[in-house]
Amino acid sequence: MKKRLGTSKWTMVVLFILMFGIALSGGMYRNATAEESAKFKVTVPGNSTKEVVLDINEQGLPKKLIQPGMITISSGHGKGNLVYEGKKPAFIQFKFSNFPGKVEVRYRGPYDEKTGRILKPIKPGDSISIDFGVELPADVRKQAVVFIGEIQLMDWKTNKLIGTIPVKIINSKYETNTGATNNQNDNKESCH
Amino acid sequence: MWKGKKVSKIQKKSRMSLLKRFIWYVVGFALFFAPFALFNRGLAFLLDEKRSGDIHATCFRMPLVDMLTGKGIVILSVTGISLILLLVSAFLLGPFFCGKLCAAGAFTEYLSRLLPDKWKVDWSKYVNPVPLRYGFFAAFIIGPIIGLSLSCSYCGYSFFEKFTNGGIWGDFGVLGSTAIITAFLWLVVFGLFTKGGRGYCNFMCPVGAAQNIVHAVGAKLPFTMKIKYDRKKCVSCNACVKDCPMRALTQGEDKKIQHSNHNCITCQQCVAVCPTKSITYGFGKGGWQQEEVKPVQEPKPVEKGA
Repeated sequence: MKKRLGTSKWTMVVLFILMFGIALSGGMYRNATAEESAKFKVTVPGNSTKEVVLDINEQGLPKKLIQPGMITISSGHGKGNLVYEGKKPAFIQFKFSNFPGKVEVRYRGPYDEKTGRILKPIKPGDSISIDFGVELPADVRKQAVVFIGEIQLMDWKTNKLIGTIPVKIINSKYETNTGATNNQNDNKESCH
Repeated sequence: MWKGKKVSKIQKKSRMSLLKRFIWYVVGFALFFAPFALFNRGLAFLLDEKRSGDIHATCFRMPLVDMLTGKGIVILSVTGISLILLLVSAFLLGPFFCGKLCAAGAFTEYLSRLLPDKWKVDWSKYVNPVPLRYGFFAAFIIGPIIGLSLSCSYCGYSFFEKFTNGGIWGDFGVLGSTAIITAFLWLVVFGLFTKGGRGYCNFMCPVGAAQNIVHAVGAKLPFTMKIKYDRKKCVSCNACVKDCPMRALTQGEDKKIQHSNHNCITCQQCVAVCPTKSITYGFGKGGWQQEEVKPVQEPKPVEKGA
């Protein structure tokens, strides 16, 4: 067997530092592509005051190549940022207004995909962690404003709206210098 | 490949060991990964803790980051108990989780066995994986403190769970750029096309690296379990070196077998294939540092036409 790298103390130190640097670069890349996922924080009953904005042109190259048509709108890991502060337990249902494609809800608990309902009531003071995987068809991705929509949170027992999360997905690649958009041209392309 | 070739005794032993280990990994999958995550759910139930029924419940990063950033760690929590069990088992038994229960590492190991060896790279031939894996581990620890967290973006466990919970059928859910890179490295470069199939475990798994640091200390003590070696019995047949998925065993030009506790996962594949039982797993001294015994001379190759 030929002598391999990293058997002497010095080369071990060099390899250690090299990998340390590569790994930290990985962390930097992760930060640079953090915009691939949109984060939200909302307390219900009430509406999110901050619009969730995501620019799909900020996606990293691997994402652009492999899966450009799926984005995440997430309440984050761990203790979720969807906080319920009502007085009675809530039976939350999600509705998606003006979304251009399918929305896949990832909730770690009993959830009915067909109706969009969380089957177990959320107690006052509880927070939940939830991800919305949003499909963006190829034609809508080629617009400066991909879509403006809203995630509506209903109480499916009372059928009352208890909160909303406004969502705006853009594609800065299609924005002109004057700020106008070239939607029309892109829409024409998408018709073919 | 196996097909059409006469199977030697060593190969039979190797396959039997793989089968036995496979059963362990299935148990590991049921214990830690969604949709089952029986350990995570069971512990959460006992502790009356709200935890997700997936691998995130036993995340290795969160308690470490909490400790390092001064938040502290709750010992009697799912993450706290998991971390203690992981480190204690590594100290007493070697990296037990990696060697017996980690279905993510096993998946690529078994997958790589489907390809002929000529298609695979034996990275350990060119570079010692130990400084590389500890370099990655150091960045994993220090990264979050300076705002450069490596997890969950490069988490092999998380991707494996995505893969087994829909990915096999094409439904990966939403993937970020870093998850795509992880998939490519874990499954393809360091999995399928790496000899042993555990390149990701060797270079990029902080859970394994942490266990190996603990094991390297524990293995020096007589009351801990470890891979042991009896040089007198060894015939330097190289079977253990060839079959080690972590490439923790190497054979020098002088035919001497060397072992590293810094990347051995004590899976005992070497124990199973050793024809002379010179490698065992148990208490006592490791035996790797003892005086060398000259290896038995290799038999001369049979001449053609003889």
